[in-house]
Amino acid sequence: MLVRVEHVMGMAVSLDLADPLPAPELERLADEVFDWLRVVDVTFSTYKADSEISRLGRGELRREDCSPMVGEVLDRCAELWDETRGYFDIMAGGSLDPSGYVKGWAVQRACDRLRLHGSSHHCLNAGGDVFVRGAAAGRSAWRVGVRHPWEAMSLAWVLEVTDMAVATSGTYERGLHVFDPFTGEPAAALRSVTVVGPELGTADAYATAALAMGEAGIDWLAQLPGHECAVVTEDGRAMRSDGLPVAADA
Amino acid sequence: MIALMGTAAGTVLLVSAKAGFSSPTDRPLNPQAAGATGPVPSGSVPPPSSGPAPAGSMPPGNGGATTMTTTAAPPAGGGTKTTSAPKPTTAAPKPPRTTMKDGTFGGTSVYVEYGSVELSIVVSGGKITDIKVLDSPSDHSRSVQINNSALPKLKAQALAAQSANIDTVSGATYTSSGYKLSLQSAIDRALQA
Repeated sequence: MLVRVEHVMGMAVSLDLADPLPAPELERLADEVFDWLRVVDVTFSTYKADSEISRLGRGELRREDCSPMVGEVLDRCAELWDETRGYFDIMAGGSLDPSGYVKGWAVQRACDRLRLHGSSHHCLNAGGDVFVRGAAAGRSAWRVGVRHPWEAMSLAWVLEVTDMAVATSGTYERGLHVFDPFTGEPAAALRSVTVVGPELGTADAYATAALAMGEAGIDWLAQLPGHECAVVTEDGRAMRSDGLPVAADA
Repeated sequence: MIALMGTAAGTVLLVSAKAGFSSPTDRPLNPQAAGATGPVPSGSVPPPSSGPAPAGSMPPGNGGATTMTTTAAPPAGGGTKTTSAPKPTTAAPKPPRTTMKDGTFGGTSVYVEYGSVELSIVVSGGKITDIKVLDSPSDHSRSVQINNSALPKLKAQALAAQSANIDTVSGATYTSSGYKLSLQSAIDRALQA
């Protein structure tokens, strides 16, 4: 059992390894996770002028000159643009910025590597977007709280999940930072959107897209195959899909 | 399919000076503060320091005073003040994680939309048993607004937070500095202690 928090990609990343492995082995697994996230940051950060994504955005690099993972991410972002009817748009801010997908994708990759390297029970939380595998120590699953969108220390839902991604997009931490790409207006109708699904990058992109859609995002989320969701509107209505894995005792 | 839940979230912060009430289930009361503002004998005049506070003029550190507006004429022999919040019950207790050390964690000030609050979590028997609000917002105008519209609908679920016994928190992306003030941070500190 090991818990480690490091600041990378501009946010705190919390890793909880619940495997009954020797401490040195757990430390090595944790090192791998954070080394990987730092590589992702160097490659994809829009805050670093010399990152591949910044240079690509300025036209100094051709796409074929970038790391293979840059192409992989951009391909998936193009698919997500299509799947979200254009509401997940990495050009919405006027310059190339796939950060809305990269974080979840990087966490997902880290967890997939953990499994390959012998960890069956882990939870990786990057700034509020979470992937869990197996179960927490002493439990049959992981208990993931969904933050209450007005109260920092309260929860709106408690989920019991395993092998699952939980992504939340909201306006309450960083203000109205998501824009409707069709009107250019900041999205303000939904205060918090949580999407539960098999892959964190996709779940996060769906949550952000629904936030950008506003009220219409509720109906859009309801028809998403293979994903569950929970929404709190700015005027305080709380909604969730029937299949949301809410803890029985919560 | 999405269903309207009709339940949700409440808050430990919903103390309204304007409305003149405070729910004991929302906000564990400091026994000391409770003593200072306890039952008032019928007909007596509350001391100025604990009387009804005009909105926005609550003295700092006297959060318990908000309940006094309802105690001007208490029933004979009856105190209307509750000195401890009812303990939330857990329907189906799970074996607690043994890795969370007992103690109180946090105590940092958290900026919420309508002011700054100070919170800490209490870990007992390896699980989070309480979240304490040590200081309340000085400006209550926003909380009154929420109380009148959104939060009654959200109330039922947020109270469960106090006994939720969670491993991690999903929420809107916070920055590195925002993390220091987050519930996730308090959980991480408890696990690492």
